[in-house]
Amino acid sequence: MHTALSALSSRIPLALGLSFLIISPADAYIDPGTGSYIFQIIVATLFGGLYALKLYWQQFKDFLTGRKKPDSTERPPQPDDHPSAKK
Amino acid sequence: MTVNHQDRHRASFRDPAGFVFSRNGILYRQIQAIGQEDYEHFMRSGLYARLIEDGLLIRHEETGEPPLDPEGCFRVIRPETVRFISHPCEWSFSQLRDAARAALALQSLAMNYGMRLKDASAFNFQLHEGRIVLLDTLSFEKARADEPWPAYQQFCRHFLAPLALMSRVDVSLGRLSQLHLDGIPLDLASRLLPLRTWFSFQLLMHLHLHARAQSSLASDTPHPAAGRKVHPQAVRGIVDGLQSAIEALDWHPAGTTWAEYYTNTNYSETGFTEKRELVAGLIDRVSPGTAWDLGANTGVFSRLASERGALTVAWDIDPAAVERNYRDVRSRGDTRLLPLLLDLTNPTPAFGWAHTERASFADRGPVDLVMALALIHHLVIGNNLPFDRVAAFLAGLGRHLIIEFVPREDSQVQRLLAVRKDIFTGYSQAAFEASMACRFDTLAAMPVRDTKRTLFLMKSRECRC
Repeated sequence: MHTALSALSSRIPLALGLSFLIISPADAYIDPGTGSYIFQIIVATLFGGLYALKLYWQQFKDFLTGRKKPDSTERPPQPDDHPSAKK
Repeated sequence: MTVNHQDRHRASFRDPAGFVFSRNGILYRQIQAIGQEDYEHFMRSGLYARLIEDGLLIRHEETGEPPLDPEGCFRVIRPETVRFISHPCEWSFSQLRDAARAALALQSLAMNYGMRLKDASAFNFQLHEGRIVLLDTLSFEKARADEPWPAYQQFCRHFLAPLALMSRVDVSLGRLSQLHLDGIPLDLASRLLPLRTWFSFQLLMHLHLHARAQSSLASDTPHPAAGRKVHPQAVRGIVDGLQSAIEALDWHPAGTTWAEYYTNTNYSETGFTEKRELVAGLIDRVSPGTAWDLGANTGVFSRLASERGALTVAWDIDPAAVERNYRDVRSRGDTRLLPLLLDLTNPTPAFGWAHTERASFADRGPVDLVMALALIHHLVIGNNLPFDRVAAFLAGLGRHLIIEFVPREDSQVQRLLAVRKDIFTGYSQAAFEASMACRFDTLAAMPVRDTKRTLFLMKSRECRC
């Protein structure tokens, strides 16, 4: 999580590179996968940061309400578990 | 001597890690050596067991079955049989959204086990015994450190774009999936969506800006960002964002002609109850294992077949009726009833490569029993279809047919005739029976009380006309 946040700050200029999003006509012969791949790399930092904030906020709320973390013995402990994956 | 009938599945040719083939009516999946490492990790890591426990993946067993093609083969597995294959363009809004939820849950869980979903085609998902499951066991690969999610674009095209269009523009746009085999192009979806969707953060990012990036960022020279690393937490962030986007989209079925059909019908309560009893009795005589209810509306009569053990598909043209039916099926945990969208006058064609990748509506038959209740007048008067053409098509779909003849005096027919020139002088029960006799033997004919309608049970045979 800390890594994600520090990565966010170092890549803000990259994120600002979103200025490419001025509309241009799509060329049907260009493989959209290439642009999609690069787009994901660029916005990943933003989404990673938002996700880290969301987890911190959840932990803060859990701390205030005294709620415990779900039992992690249900399956092998994982380094960065995803809350939406829990049933 | 036994004759072996075996064939590679027509839609299974894209993934070098393996393919599906059938042998003597049983489907197998051959895993190639190139997919061995990922498959073994998938099985040993506990991910397979977890996905089976959560009902997200089709179960399989490892067999000693000989491969279809021994070259490069690592193993042959036998997946549990899915008895009916539907296409995403036939799904209602909630069916597609449940498949999207399943795809994201699969990716989230895979990451917990050091793996990832390598593709997110909606065609890989099926409604099986009341649940949406992934069919493609080879869709998982070991996660490579610091790489983006390779199925991101495919997920947006196959799920996010059609769901956004169905929710924010018109639910009928789900049928665009039939035209675009690899999902709806994002630039097309972006142009069709209303301006207000630009103010939804998730749709703005994953759809509108994503669409523009596809053309702006693709060039002959590598983009400076192309080699940058992506932290796994960032991939989780993207999946989390997509989950939020999917949950924010909704559609409420209401007010369409067909979804309100049973409140507008001219049946008395007695007539309706008796019709149910008559249909149930005719189904019992056939005792079908598979059934198709054509023009099923919300599935009131389809349930008579599914409750008797038949795997029943309830086809209807109206997205609201199919949506209501699916929500009901889902809430009851019904494992034998599958509501799907179909315009019977323009049924799903065979599509994909060489017309063989995805089977047409009729190619997925014949079934034991076809039901066509309160349908004939819509075909003949509403769509100018001659009786003999209706008979010929229905005869190819099933071995038995329960069909209701709706006479000219019926208020539903009068409603149709009120808005069109009456050129249907030949529309009579005698003409109907004569045309049907070319393709069917009539086993029973029963008038429905309080109406002038008649229910027929017929058995199809070779054409005699």
